[in-house]
Formats: sequence, C-alpha cells, structure tokens
Amino acid sequence: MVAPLRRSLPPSTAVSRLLPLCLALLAACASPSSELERMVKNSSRDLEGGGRLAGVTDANAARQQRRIGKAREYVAAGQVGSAADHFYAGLILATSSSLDDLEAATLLGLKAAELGEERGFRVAAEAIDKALRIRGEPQRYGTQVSYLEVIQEWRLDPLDPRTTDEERVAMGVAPLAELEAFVRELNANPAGD
Amino acid sequence: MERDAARSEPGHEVDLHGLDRRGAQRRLAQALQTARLRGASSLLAITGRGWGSPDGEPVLRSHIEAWLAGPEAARLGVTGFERTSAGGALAIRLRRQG
Repeated sequence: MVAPLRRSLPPSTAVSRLLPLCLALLAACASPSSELERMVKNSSRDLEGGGRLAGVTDANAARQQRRIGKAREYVAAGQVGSAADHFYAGLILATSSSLDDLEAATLLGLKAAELGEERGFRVAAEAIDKALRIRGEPQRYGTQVSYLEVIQEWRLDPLDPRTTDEERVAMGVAPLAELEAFVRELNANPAGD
Repeated sequence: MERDAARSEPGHEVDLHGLDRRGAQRRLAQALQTARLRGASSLLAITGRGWGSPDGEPVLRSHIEAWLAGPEAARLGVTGFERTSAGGALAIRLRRQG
C-alpha cells in the first residue's frame, strides 16, 4: 500500500514543495490581474481579423459591455490593487462610452503609472480624450481618430491647440507631427494590410 | 472606492532620488502632468541636497532647476519654483490645465 504523500515526506520537504503552489494560489486570489488581462486580450481579438472596422458588431459590443461591467465590479469591490490591476481595469473601462467609466479609467491609468506601470499614462490620455469628444469638446492629447465614411478618410479628431508636445509625451502619446503622420499612413493604407 | 482614494491623496510630490538626469527629468515631466490632471496647483520635487555626490555638489538639483527655468517646463505648465526643505526639495508652481 502506498502511504499518503503527506506522511511519506519529511515536513520540511512537504513545505518546500507546497509553498510555491500556495503562494501562486494566494497571488491569484489576491489580484484580478490575470482575469483583467485575459479580458483585454479577448477584447483585442474581437477587434482583429477583418480590417480596422471589424470590431464594430453587435456581438462584439455586447461582449465588451460584459467586460466593462466586470471591470466596474472589480473596482467597486476594491479588488484592484496592483499596478497591473489598475492598468488592465483602466484599459477596459477606457473602451466605455460612459463618462463615469472614462473618469474611472483616467484615475486607474494615473494610479497604475504611479505604481510603476507607465502605460497607465497612455490609458489616462485616451480616457480623457474620449470623454472630451463625448462632451463635444476638442481632444487634449490626440488619441482619437475618426473614419469619415463619406470621403473614406481617417481624420485626427479636433485637438485643443493649447496642448503641447511635452504634455503629450509625458502622457505616453506621440508628438503631434507623428500623430499626423500616423493618420496619413492610415489613409495611404486603408485596408490595414 | 478607487475614485475617492485617488482624490484624497494628501500631497503631490515626486521623489527623484537615485535617478540620473534624464530619468529624473522624465519622471518629473510625468509627475507635473499627473499633478495638473488631479487639479493641483503645486508639486514638491525631492531632489536631495547632493551630499551623496562625489564632490558634495547637488548635481541633480542644479540640473532640475535649470530645466524648470526653461521653455520645456513652461510648456508642461510650470510657472515658477523655489527651494524648500533646507534645499533638498523644490516647490513647483503649476498653471491650471485648461
């Protein structure tokens, strides 16, 4: 008969073998990062595979709304603790059209950056710009572009002229000249090939 | 709640200790932008007094002061600054973001 594992190992060996597993389980329970990251990856996957407008479908939109709802739950439950938690939750909420979500995404992005995840600045810039556009105001940093169906052309959404390149760069956004070059490239290569 | 936590931070400051000039400048630019987004009108930048540098001169503080007086910092909303904490920090005044 085979003795149970816990009896066949000296206590110190059992602890050394079980400790990494316990720590991994504790980490998984303590932080929703992996779930939030998975949601971000799935969201990106929804937007891939058929040109730049492929993501605009009812099914994709419904899935994204569920992800946004889940991110809201994590934030409301105070489960967002690490830099990665803040970054991924902010990234998901920045895709919302709700001003409350965008305000939360801004703060999550800034907090992520403060905790060491520099990409959080870009998330905050995107959420700020999107909120401004929803309010009908010019964007601040230049993260928002629109496709004008009538003329089949991408355009950088109207920009607040008071924003400087230094402010853009501090927020992880490219200088204006590079943003304009990016839009020219989009128009030169409309299929995204 | 996350939003309340972010707003209730007591002060806006950035610690530049241990960073090289380029790193400190970058960190400060980000901190200036963050502080303004959070509605702050000032930021405390901790540079240290330079006692750890080879010749005892506050190299980082001098570099940061020169940068703060230049056009790049002005374009990040800096309107002025002064030494504080016995010279170990700089109190930076910020223009409100539009």
